Amino acid sequence: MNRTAAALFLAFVTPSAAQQDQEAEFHASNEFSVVSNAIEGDGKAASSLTKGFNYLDVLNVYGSGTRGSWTYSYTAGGKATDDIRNDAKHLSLTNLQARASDKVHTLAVGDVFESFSQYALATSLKGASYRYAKQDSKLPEVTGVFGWAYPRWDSVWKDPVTRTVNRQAAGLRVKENFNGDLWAGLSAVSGKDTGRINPTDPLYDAKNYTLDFNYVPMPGLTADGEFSKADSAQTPSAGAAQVSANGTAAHFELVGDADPSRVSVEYENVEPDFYSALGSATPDRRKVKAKWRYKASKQVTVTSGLLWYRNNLDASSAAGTVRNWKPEISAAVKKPFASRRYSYADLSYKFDRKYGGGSSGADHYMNANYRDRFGPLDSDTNLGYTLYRTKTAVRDAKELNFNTSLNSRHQLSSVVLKPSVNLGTWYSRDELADTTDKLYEYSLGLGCEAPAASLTGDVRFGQNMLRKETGDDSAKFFAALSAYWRPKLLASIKESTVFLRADFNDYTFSTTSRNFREKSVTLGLNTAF
Amino acid sequence: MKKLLSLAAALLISAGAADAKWWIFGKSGQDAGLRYLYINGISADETGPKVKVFSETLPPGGQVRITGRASAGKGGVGSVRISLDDKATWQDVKFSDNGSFEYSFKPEPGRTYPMLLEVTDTAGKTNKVDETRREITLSAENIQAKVRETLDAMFDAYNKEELSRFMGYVGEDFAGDKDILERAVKRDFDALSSINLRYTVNNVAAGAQGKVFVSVTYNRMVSVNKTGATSTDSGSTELVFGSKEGKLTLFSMKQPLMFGLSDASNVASGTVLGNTGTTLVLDDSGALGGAGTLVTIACAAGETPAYEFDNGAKACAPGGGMNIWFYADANPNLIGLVTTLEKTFSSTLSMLSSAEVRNTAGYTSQPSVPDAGDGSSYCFNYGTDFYCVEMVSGPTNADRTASFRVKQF
Repeated sequence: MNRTAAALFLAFVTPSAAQQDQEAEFHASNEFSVVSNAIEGDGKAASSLTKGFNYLDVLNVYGSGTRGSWTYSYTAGGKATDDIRNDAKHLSLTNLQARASDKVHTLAVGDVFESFSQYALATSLKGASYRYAKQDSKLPEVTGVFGWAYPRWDSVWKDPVTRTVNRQAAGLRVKENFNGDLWAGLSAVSGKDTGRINPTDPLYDAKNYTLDFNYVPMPGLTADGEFSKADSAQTPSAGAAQVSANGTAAHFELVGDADPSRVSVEYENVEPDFYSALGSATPDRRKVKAKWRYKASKQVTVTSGLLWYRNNLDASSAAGTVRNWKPEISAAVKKPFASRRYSYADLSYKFDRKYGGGSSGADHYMNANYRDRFGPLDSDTNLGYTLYRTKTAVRDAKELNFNTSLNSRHQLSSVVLKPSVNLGTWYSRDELADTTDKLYEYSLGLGCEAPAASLTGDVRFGQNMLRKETGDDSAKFFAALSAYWRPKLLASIKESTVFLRADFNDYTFSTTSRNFREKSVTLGLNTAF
Repeated sequence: MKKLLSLAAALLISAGAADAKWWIFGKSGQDAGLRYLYINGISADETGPKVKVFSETLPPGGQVRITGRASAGKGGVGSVRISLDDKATWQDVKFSDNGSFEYSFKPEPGRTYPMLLEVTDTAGKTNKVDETRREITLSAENIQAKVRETLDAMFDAYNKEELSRFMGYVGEDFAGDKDILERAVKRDFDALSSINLRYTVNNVAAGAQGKVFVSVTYNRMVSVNKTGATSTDSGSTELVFGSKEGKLTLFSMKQPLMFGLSDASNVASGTVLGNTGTTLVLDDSGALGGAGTLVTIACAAGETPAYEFDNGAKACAPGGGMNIWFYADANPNLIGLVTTLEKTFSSTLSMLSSAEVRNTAGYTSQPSVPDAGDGSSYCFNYGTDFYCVEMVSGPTNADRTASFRVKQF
């Protein structure tokens, strides 16, 4: 398989082939960086950095052209690193695709992402697809796809490090555009797992049959929906008996959008036994949602909404049914003070009611945001109050957030300076534990732009301090520098950027054996041509 | 459900058949205008005024396709014209009897096309042309660069706990529901501080329908406000983006989650195949846990998997047997050897409450770890610390791999 992929890649990117084209273009970009990390202190095991020197290189190429009545394009990319936290593999292929089409037929191989619909097929495959679509014809659009649902190329050639369950996928979609106002699609998708890696890996053999549509009955009103039926069999682990399941998923939405209102109504029902191996679905959920955005005037927009959902649709859960109510209302006001041209206020209230299944909570979220400009200073201030109130001894807490930032911009000759200040605090009173915790944050920054020298940069430092009534207090002091220089290296290089990033983080705790410091310096070059 | 569908169908039929204007709030259906307009299959209502497209998501031939349907009230449609240079020049667009039309052009990378559409009815009345204005740009960037730019911006907003900026990168059609994700992220911000997320891209695939698939390897460190502890996790996950509104917006996420850890089961729509990393989730109390962190320790023949609760260190200790050793730095004795207290709960980790676990009634010192049973949790008390374990699979003589979930209360 890897030899096939390499041959395919070379066939498309060989310059001699490109030169024969009537019209061809080729672009490539590469980013190479080296990073040096140092971690010190008794608690250094808690760091998420890899100590020492490491490198990372990311390469991408893209090309397109025409041959006779056919047009083609190709893209390929790779990643190389010696830091296992960046990737489990030192060298990996990140993308590979070739596509060719005349005005009717389209063929794609490699990374194929034919998103049929949400429930049917919403993931990429390593394989091939074909689409027939004839414009100005009453014939339907037909798409066929076949491949493997691996999240990365290494898995295709069963690399021991990234090997995973082998999921074969095949799908067919027929889409008809009836009169411009209405289209509908029928999809059949199959996902079959083979080749368990661990004895506890569940294997699925799932088929999904889906109908989706979009209808515009009048200007500004759109209805779309999807209904999918799943027929699946699961083998939970090696040697276990196969379990069959059948379930359906349905989604329907109406959106009316015309000034001054936008109204949407949504309904979704995904049965617990609905399984889509290749689509996106949250099983065991029935949801109803309505939202209304109303522009009351040029200055005031009011948004209100209600979201309700529940689980345990087949009443089989011993834990019981959990129901959620989430109403909300918010108002955004431009120029709340007529004399203040740049003033903007946003107020919101959200409520979460959750009950059943051994839990019961009623949480309130209130938030106020105000933005304005005072002379040369742009300000953005946020005040939030949250009340987490439960009846199951999980969380009874009052939390208060306050953040404010001041930004400014000053031009000194050909250099632009952007100083900024951020201040924040978080206060939490936990009534169950009878404790009060506080978090204080501050940071100071200075951005710099020198267009004549093709230079931009930013330096920032600050501190987060968590003060706990019981338990370890902690603090993080940080300092960060970033600089980007875009020199003209070669005429053939469209763009190049040399970048430098340096970070220092100092974590301190009441229990000093947990203390550690991180120093990280990254130097890199990004080129595109 | 049937009642709801019947009601919706009746609403649609009445809206389409009658001259129903109740919901469009005063707009007249008699003027020349557009019933709908799509740019590369995406409704112009959703694109916003600026539409940025990428070569990889364009149909073959690299053409931008504009489809729509003109309407003219009682009269017929007289003409449809398009301008791609802000009204400087106009081109006639062919349309069918019912007003539907289609127009394609091949954009140059990096150039912006201010597009306007003019519909004129047979009486000479025209639509509100300026309302159709969209700036269409074929990005000179490749889709990988755009993916990285979007992920960088999302991670930056999440790390800095800027909720509204973060939600600006989430699509209205987010599969797990945008409002559920917003509340979950808000809870993440209340529960965590000093968030540090890094990633590299494993795989990017763009489709002609405008969706972009992304697989990433991530590496994360957080401080948990409730416990004061720091925690790290890593692994690989998948995200899908749509390319509406001139930028990439999040369409779906799979487990393990990057964002919305506080309501993982409702935010995620699927689980990544082959993720071997640990998974961070937040429970209702704002503490790390939920279903617990999945830990897998693979040892060679003749070794026994061992795990330290307080720092997550994994080890393979000499000596065989069927046991798994669990211990804490503060108390290096093996579990079951006298000094620790333990208790069995007949429920999974996700169903255990903090108050239930931290009630010391019933904790006893046991000579050995009891056999793992389905749906059970084993909790251990070291001084003020409580840890619970839910077994997934234990080691056998043939396979010395232990897999279990662990959660601190």
